[in-house]
Amino acid sequence: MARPSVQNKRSSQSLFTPIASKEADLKIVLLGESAVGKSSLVTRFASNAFDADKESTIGAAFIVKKYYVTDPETNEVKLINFQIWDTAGQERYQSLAPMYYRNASVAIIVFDLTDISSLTKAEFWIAELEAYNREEHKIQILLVGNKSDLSKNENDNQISETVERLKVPYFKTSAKEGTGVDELFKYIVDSIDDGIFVESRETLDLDQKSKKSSCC
Amino acid sequence: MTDHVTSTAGKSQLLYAKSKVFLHLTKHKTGNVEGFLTITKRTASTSNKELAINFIPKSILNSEDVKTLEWFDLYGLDGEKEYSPYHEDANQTKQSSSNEPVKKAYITRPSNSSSTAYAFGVTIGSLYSIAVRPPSIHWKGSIILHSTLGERLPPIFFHDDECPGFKRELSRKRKQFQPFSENNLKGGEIPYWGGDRFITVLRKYAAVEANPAEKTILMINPTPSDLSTFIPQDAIERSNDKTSLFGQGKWKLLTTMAKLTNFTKNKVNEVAQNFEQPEVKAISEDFESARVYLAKWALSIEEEANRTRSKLILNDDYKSLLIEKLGKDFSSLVTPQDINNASRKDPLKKAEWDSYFDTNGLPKITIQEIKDRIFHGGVDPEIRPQVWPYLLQVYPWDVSTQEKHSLEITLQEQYLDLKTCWQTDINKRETDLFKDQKFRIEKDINRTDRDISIFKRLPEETSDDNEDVSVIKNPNLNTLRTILITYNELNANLGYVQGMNDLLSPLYYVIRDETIVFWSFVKFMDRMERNFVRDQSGMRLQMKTLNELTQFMLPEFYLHLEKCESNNLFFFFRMLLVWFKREFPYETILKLWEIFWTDYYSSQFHLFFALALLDKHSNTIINNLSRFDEVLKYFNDLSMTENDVDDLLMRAELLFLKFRSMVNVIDIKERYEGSAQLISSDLRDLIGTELVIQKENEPCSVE
Repeated sequence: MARPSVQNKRSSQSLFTPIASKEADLKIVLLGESAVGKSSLVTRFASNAFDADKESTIGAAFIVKKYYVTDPETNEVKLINFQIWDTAGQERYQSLAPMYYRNASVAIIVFDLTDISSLTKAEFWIAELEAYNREEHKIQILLVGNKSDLSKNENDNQISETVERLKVPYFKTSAKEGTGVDELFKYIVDSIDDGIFVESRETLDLDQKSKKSSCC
Repeated sequence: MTDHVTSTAGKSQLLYAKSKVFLHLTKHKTGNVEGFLTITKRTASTSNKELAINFIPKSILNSEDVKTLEWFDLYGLDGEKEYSPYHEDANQTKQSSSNEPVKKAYITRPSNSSSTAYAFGVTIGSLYSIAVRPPSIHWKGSIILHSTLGERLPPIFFHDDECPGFKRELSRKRKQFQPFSENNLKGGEIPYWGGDRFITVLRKYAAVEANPAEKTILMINPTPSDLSTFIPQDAIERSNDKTSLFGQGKWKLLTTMAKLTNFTKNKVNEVAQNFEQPEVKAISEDFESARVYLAKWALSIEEEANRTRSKLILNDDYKSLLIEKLGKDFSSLVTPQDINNASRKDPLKKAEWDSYFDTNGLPKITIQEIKDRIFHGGVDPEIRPQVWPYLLQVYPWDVSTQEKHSLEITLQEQYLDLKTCWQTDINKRETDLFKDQKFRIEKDINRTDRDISIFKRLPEETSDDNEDVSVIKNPNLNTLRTILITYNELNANLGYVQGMNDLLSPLYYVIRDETIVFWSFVKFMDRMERNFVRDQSGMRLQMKTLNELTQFMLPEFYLHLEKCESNNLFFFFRMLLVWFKREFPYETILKLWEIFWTDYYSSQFHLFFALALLDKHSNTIINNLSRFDEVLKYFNDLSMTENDVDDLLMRAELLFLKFRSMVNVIDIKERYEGSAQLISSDLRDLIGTELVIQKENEPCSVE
């Protein structure tokens, strides 16, 4: 299968707003220790921005993002409606986590490359989600080490050992500098099962519009 | 009419007399009728129930009686001794505080012909209740006598500032260090006034009990059923002081409630008994196919909601009952214009605040009035540092300047002790728990309200400082850290939870004095701790209560939210947790919180504010949004301003008043029918002004 090219709607909006023929909802949850950069990753992905002083997340934040993908061979445009739950990191809010990862297709588990103790919390989340998956759910689990701009590779050995043991796809990112974030979401988009796409509402809207214009 | 005082000529013994009481027949002073309020005994064998309470206009009294009454007002109950240091004949005019006359004094009973000159009276036996309205900066204190015959009797106003007898009482009170009302009408918060002594004396001759439904109504020799019903309607309507906007809403409500009397007495049996219960909607268990993220936590709220739903979304019988009973008056209450005019005021400014206290720093007006003022206008930024510690009860309202000073010293010492405890204890600082807590606090301190000037990133701070969060260069944030760690020492079980920094930051921004900020935070946390307990039960209860409140007050909107699978009101979690701090501009939050802290109507007014938010956006949502994620995004993305806060506060106040009246109507119905409780105790608690306090019981451990 040809690799579809990824197109950010925001960047192309002014010139051309694609009309998708198919679309799918994709539910993502971010989990991980507090202050590892979960919200910053989402902000980088959703609005290509970074705020060093971003306040801590309380409860959870819900972000939606429209994401267009064009298949280079067929020129077919697909729309992915990202629905992202960005959760609070502190353990006290952990009892709320199941309501976010329930029904999620993808879980992004984030840790801080400069704080090795946050990797322990990441392992905890992976274990919890794997247990949940054993009850016939299938959440795709991804591990992200964030703050690569600050990392001096001091924890690299321990991290690679853990990553190897956990057997989950692993990404290094810097939400601050934007590195690795595209790769992460590209991976997610590539893994989407074609079966979940349905006929796009945009196409339906267009049909209705053209019907209207033709009758007037 | 035999119960009434007939105006047979003759002399009666005085048991109580108060000069400088007035009838206000018009809005202008010229319409005032000056007179005396008396309790008199006709003969030695007259029983307590036959004692007469009279208003006697001064104009119809002869000069001898006026002299007697003025003497009695000054000395009749307390004696003269302290004011006659040169007279040793104390056995003749003994000093007393027994509220009984120190010697027998008589006045002429008003004659028949005087009955047209505004004289009136009732015997204690024919006195049903008394409406008591303590004085305020806007009106004189007054009482209204309600006779069992339901006559319209005018309010009697106490002009304490003109009354020598009252001034003497007050100075005696002050000497006895009891500056506050002995009647405790509102939790002892009302300064002593002229009506207090009348009630105290009356208590000697009759049982006087506050009406449970409205504490400002005192029932005289009540039967149990009297206490469970409302007050006579006519008298209280007349007492509506239309010249003052203050307290209008409340007085209006009293009028509304008074109208319910007929209902309680006559109509309740006519109300349809047959309540059809709609089928409880089946709860879909098929989560896999649902569009919505649902989990146990939200589910439990929703299940609970479904259980109460059939009850709380009122059926037609209840609806028509409420319209019948409340409709007319509610239509005047619900006009936004009405609220607009009456409710929101300018902030309380320094001169006005200062005028509330005497030279000793003691309040001259009732605490409820101060709270009324702040509730409706907020506080000017200039005096927030002074006012907030009172609102948060760091200082009691009735503390004198000197006592306040010594209290401050104690608070200072206690805070230093707590702080030194962790700052100097090497062993403690080495524990995993301490290090873990400190790390959690520091991670959040570094990202607390950085957009506010005093918390801004300093030039020498780079974002790379995030690498070591224990380096906090901003001195203000550093103090926040110290306070949070010290609070952890004081309240060790709770531990630091994200969001507590949001609660502390405005306190520091306003007050600045580290000690006072700390104790203000301690007091604030008393009421907020339930938001942070480990099992989330405090938040869950509030979400559940808000859900019930929405069903009860906004049923159509609730049904729409149900269709959108949004009726768990999940988007309110953050708003309730940190009292809307993330939803409004910082300065606006200062105003909102000080209004919540007054507990003026309810200690959980934030839930009515949340309800107001739902109310405000209900039409937009009903007309435009139909999916869970749309509703969630809509509330997530609300960006609100100070104007929104004023509008929402007005709506919240209105919704509260409406809620309280609805609960009252339904209570009466249920009391008569003995039917099941429609209103849950959680919902009913919303009418209370007592703080709801829930503490973390499990000790904190390393997370």
